[in-house]
Amino acid sequence: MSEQEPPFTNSTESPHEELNELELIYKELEQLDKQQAILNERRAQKIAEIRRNEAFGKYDQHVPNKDEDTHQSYLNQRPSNGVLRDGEGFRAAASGQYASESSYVAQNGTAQEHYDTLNGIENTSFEAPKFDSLSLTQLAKEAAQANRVNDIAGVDEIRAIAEHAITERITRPGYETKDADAEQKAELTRFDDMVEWLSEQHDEVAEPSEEAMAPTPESPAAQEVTTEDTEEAVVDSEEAPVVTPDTPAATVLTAADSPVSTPRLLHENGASPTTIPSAHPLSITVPSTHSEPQSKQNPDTIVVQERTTNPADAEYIPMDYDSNQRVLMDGKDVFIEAYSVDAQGHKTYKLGTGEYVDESAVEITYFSDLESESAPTTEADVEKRTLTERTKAWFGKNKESHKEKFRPSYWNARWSGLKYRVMNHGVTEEMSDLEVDKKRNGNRRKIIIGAAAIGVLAIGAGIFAVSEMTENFNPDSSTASESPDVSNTDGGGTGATETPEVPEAPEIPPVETGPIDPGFTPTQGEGGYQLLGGLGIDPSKWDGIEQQLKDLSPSEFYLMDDGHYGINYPNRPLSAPVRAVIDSVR
Amino acid sequence: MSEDDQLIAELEIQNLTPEEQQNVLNGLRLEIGEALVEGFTEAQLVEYQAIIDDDHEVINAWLVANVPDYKSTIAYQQLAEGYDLDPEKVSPDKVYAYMAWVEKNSPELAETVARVKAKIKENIDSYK
Repeated sequence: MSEQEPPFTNSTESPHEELNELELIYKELEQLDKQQAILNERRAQKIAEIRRNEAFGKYDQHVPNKDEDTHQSYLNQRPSNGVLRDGEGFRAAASGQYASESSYVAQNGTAQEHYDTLNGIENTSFEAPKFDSLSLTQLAKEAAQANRVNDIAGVDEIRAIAEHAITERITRPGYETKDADAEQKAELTRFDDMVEWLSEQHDEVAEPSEEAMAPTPESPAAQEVTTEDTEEAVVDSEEAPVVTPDTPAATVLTAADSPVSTPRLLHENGASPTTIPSAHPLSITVPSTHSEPQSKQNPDTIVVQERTTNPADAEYIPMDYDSNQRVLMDGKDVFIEAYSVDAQGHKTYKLGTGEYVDESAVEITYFSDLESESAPTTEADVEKRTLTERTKAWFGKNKESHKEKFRPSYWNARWSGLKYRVMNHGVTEEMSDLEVDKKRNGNRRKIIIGAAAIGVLAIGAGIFAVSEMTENFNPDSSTASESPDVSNTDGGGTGATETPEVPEAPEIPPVETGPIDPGFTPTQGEGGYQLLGGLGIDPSKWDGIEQQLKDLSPSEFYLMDDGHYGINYPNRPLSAPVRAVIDSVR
Repeated sequence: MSEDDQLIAELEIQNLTPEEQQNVLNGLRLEIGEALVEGFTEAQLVEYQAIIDDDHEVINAWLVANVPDYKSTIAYQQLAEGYDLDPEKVSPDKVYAYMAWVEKNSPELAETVARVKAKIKENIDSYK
């Protein structure tokens, strides 16, 4: 049995050290007492504050009377309050003083409802604009809208937000300016000009006429301007001369010199009607009226005039305007009356209908050569042109997302990340690695099929539409950007290694133009033997040609469990090369 | 507007986070794929699998047999643009074939996509 140790004998501290430790504890206690006293003091102050506020009614709850939970219901029971209509005007019921129409209407709904009421618009899905997130151009539109309905408070509110945005931009760290105040003032002036101009424009072009919407022989240039056939002139609003009918090419306008009150439209000399904002210190490109041969014009060119700017406006240009472009917008034939470019370079189009459309929200294709000599003359031609443009536009926006599905990184990220649960649809913990791989691969295939389906449906027949530029497109060119070799690529997401060059495609015999023997269209479940039998050929001859057929057209045949080849596509005629081989054994 | 943006608007899922939106869109693609696959034979599936797995022989043969002038199509030319600059060299032949194959082999494509979209939208609406 071991010896029992006396208590506390494990202490190695000397009495002197123990005393120091005790002193430290007492000091700590002393500090805690002080803290407690401070907190007690604060607590007492807070309690006093609450009681004081309570005494003055700060926390009183205001419960509405029965059936008075809206301002309107409140007014209904108090006819002597609120704003009432008085003939053409409005008055405060209690004081008799004149009140604004907006105050009257605001009693009954939101400011937007007020706008809608005035404009006769039924807007059931309106969401209040978040002004803080709008660009200056968008803010100007909102302000113009408010201006048109005399919502002065709304205009002031939006202008304050614009001013704040300008101030923030100018004062942000790293922004260099010689005179921030002057710059801010200048930008605010531009903003005001823009609001004024937009307000006036709406009044001028409330309803586009038929003539304005349709191109006429008298104004061919109205819809046909390209950078190639347009001589452009940089117009400074303070220095450039006024346009005259004799001005041959560049149509030049200055707001300062203009005898016409601004804004105004240029129609002189058959020029494209170009609207110039009043007193706007921007350089504006105005299209020439020269009619160079239209053959120079590239039908694929998006016909938006280049804008040029003064150096002072390089960073932020409130707006500049092009005019009157007939385009396909999401496949619809519309008329762009003007466009503005905000500080971020985003375009907003003003349509002939008075609507505004952001470029990011639509697919726009220009067919300014529609009226040119090479323009299509039949409905079918127009349809074809439309299909071409739509297909190009669609691929321009979406080809990367479709290509992405063939990049290994895309699938690796999705299979490994839990957040992409769809990719692991049907995968369970009980599954073996092999089963999981199989499931994921099946999901991948379905998702890819789904993506392809959505894509081809969006472009319709566009997937097979042949380019009008075919003559200039050399599919056998060595330029990979036009005609890349399909070899040595791996985007399948399978991690497959590089593969050898693709063998040359088999030569295809000329396709006969006559009707195809119905016997060459296999029915559901029909195999090679039945097919040959149906054509009056000895079925056993299938064994002799099936390998040749598979080699010739691999997609049309598949290897069956019994080692023979079956036919892939029922109810579809076999291809011409295959038919030729079968015919050869008759 | 991109295809994704259009689908997001169509399904009215703008209020979801981008991650949730992508899950919904991939779910939509999966269900469309599932519905279309039902109409394919095993042989067709094998062929499609070969196309998306970059089997050049199958891709080439299918294109030659079904869209002999595919290199003259606008779609192909659009897909081929920028191939030189693509570090992964995603083959335009494959991307073209992956779409054209579905178009050629899905007689009820529009109806199927519309039906699945409606079903997904109904599900989404029921959670609102």
